[in-house]
Amino acid sequence: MVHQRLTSRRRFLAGAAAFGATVLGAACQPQVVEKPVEVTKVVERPVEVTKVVEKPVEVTKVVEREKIVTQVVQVGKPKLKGKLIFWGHDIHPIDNVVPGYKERQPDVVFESQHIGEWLTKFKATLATGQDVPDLVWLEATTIQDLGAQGVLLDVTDLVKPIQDKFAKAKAVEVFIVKKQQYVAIPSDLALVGLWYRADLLQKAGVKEPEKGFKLDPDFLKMALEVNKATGAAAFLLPKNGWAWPFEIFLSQLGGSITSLDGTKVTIDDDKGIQAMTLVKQIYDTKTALDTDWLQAPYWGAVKAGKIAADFMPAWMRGFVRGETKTPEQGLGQWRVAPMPELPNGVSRTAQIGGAALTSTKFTKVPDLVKDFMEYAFATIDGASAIGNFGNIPPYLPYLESLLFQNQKDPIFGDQLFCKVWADLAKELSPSYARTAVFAEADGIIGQNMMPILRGEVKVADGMKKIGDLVRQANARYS
Amino acid sequence: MASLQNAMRPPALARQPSSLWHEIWRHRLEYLFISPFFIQFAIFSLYPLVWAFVLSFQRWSGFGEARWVGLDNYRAMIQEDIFTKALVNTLVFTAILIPTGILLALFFAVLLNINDLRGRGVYRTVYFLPYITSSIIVGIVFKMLLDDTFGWANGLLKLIDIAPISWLRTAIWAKISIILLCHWQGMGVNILIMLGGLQAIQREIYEAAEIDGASAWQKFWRVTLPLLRPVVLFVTIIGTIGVLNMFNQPFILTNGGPENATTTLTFRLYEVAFRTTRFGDAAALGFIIGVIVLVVSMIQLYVGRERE
Repeated sequence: MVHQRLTSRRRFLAGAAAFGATVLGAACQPQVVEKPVEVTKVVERPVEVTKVVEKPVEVTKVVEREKIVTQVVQVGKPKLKGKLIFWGHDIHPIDNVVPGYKERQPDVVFESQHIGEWLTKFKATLATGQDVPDLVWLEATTIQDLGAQGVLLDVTDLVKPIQDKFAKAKAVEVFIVKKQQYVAIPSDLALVGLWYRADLLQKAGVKEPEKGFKLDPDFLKMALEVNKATGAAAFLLPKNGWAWPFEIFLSQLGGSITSLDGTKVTIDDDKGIQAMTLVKQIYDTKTALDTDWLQAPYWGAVKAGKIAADFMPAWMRGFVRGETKTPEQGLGQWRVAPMPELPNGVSRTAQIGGAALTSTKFTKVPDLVKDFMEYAFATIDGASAIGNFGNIPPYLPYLESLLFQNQKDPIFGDQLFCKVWADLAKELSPSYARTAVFAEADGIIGQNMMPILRGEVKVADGMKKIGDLVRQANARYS
Repeated sequence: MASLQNAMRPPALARQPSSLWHEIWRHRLEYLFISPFFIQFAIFSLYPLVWAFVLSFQRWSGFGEARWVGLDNYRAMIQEDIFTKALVNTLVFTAILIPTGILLALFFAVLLNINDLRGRGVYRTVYFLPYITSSIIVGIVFKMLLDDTFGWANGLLKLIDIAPISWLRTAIWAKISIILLCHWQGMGVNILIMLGGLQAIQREIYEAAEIDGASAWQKFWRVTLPLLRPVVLFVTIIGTIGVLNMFNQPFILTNGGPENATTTLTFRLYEVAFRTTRFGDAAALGFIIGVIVLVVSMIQLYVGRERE
């Protein structure tokens, strides 16, 4: 048998080097810069307004004890047909809305799929453009990221006419400044408040902050007294960093990590420096709980009464209810109050989390999508279904109703906690942006804030470093 | 005989050099049998590798058009402060884990190689068990053991009147915790490899050394170690590649903290790829890590062979 070498080692290496050099040469070419094309052609498109009213409009007055809620029941809504597929996390408030929606649209099949790793799979469907769910539950930062890239369905015609019926701060989150479009319906108002254990405060002889109080001196004093009397922490702040307190204070001060359009990083401006200074102030009380949020030691501390207060969002209700089963563990002892008032603060609340219902340009049933969105978050029926689940829809007529405000929960005892949320919804700052870089910025803050809190670097210097890191990251999203 | 046969062969029937296609056709059955591996390799390894390489020169969020940006992704990744920190962390882990890992594995392998050691199989199993346990599960258990407030480690320290240690929340102790976890889990396979190398050394060489009056230490230093060098080199290279690609342990135990003290290069790659939508940047970082691993491995191989 004759063995013939097809090529020599030298030739192979030479060929590989030539290939690599070619690729490198191509890579070194100047970046292709797209010149913005000026569009001078104005296109007018007639907008068809369809409002089918088969029967005369009925006005139903629901007389409640203190407030009259007038709900206009519009009968003769156009009947739609088709199928809607929804992807979201397991045990979802949207599932509460479906029965009511089926009465409105009996010919629509609604499939709520709670598959594992759904967010990763959703992004994979976007890459292929196939099997994309019609409705999906996305965080504000993802909505801003995808919306800016033109992937999400434009629902401006649905949201804009009714934008005043939503909490302004939430409407801002689903509006893409770059495209001047609404790409989701405002859905979940994840308001933050000061949750506290009434029994532990009582034990320490501290008056309850029912209407809220000032950070300095009231909260600081409370933290020290409760910690001294009961050994309980006054808030969560693990030693390896935790961005939430900073983000909450920043929002309360009217600041933001970036501008609303995401082009400018503002985390290290005066408000950012002030927010971190205030976090340092509470850190210096040495009354923080040093453990990771939602991990087993955290719940151990909650049940053992080792945390007397914390800055928590409204949606923590389900989690706390799941973990506290007896009065000794805190059942019936929790109360909620506005966040401590900050010097020069514009609000006594902020948002942590709070996703929105959105769709993509790939949906084949945009009319169905908008109809469901409207029902779920822009009607009293839908909003109350969401509210009964535990979330707070930002639909103002619902928030102002006794349906919402009279809700009770075993963890809060007799407190009408939803009244607190209803008041705070109006205060929420509309300047706080959660743009594409937000998730990365959250990590950067957490990893770099501790030297500031420990006093190893000055607040301004530390914030400048954080600001530069966020700018570095933000540049990758343009 | 052969030359006679060749001389008798008519010139016209002398063998022509065969073409590539002819050779392939001649061995078509053999190629058919080995083709499944290569098809699988081409689809699941080669194609994604080439695709990722091209992606590393583009800006892409996971959908829509990918925009050609040349070396911008590579530049951006290298210039990030956190890249430098991750690189330093990775090299520190490598510099500590590899020598200590080899020394410990050699120590235990020598012990296991003792003649007439009873229960050798049991010891081998015990040492190897951590290696086959999921690193995720091990990480979760270690995290609970090392918890500052509720962990058993601090509970034991408290029993003997020693102040609790912030295992996962201070930079130095977080690194030590990861090193301990890596040793606990990875030592078993190194011990087995070393043990195999030790058992391959012929007894006659030791007997000859004994006849020459060598002590136990001299036998170890002048016989065992030199003959074990290829095995040690192998363990060093494989171990270095493993440590340079370390991800599970910082991800589960410390999430890269505190203050990025345990962020490794691969952990940073995960952050860029899956906590953001910067797939082009992540691809670039992946190839940067690949080049670092290749360069370090080649240096080790060169140094190792030079010494031989």
